[in-house]
Amino acid sequence: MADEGQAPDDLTFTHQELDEKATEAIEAVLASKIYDEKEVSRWINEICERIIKSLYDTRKPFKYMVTCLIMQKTEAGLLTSGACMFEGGTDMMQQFLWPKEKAKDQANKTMHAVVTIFCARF
Amino acid sequence: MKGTNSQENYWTRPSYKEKFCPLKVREIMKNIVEPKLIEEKYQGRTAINQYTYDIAESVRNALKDEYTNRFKIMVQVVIGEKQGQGVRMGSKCFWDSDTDNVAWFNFMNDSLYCVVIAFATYLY
Repeated sequence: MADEGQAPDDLTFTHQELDEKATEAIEAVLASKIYDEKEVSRWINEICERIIKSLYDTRKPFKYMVTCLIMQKTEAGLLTSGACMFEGGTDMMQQFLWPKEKAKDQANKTMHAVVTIFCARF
Repeated sequence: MKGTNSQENYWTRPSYKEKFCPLKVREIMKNIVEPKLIEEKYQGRTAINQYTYDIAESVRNALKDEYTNRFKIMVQVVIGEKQGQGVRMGSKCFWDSDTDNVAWFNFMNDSLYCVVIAFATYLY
């Protein structure tokens, strides 16, 4: 743990780190829920807040933007992409799908969630 | 990020004219998305994949020209098939509300919907 007033050792985020934060937040909110239109906005709010809080707790000098999309599970297709203009070495854009391919059996059977995390250094 | 020589420029806030204007950006997004998608049907993953990528790149390039140097631009495009399913998207940001902003644009036709969202953060 760095001392007070000292900069953190690594000034960027790894894919692994962001993946953990996103998965943790989504699992905490959506784990055994069924898609419910009245509750969806509350879930999205909570997921985004949890992720922002866990990013803020790292105390790195970054601005964060998190988007969360929740879709009912049907045959419908969905595609997302992103384009950014920022600093190559330090800034990140990562997208995460939940439930993951590997965990298909235990995971939620009624909805998909896609979380995108942007980090911009300042 | 190239462009600004920080030794010459000490602004820590954008001037009024330089501010990221969501309404103007919405117009830009509308002019990019509508011509591309207005006649389109959701044909399958491979066809639409190119559209999401193209739209994201076009919006980013247009904003890059509009807000040179001082803003970092992040654009996300979502295109989905309309099958009567429920879908909802939201976002939260942690930034400096005086300087940073967001703009979004929704588009729908009979077979697909498209959401474009652009974040801009000021580079001090």
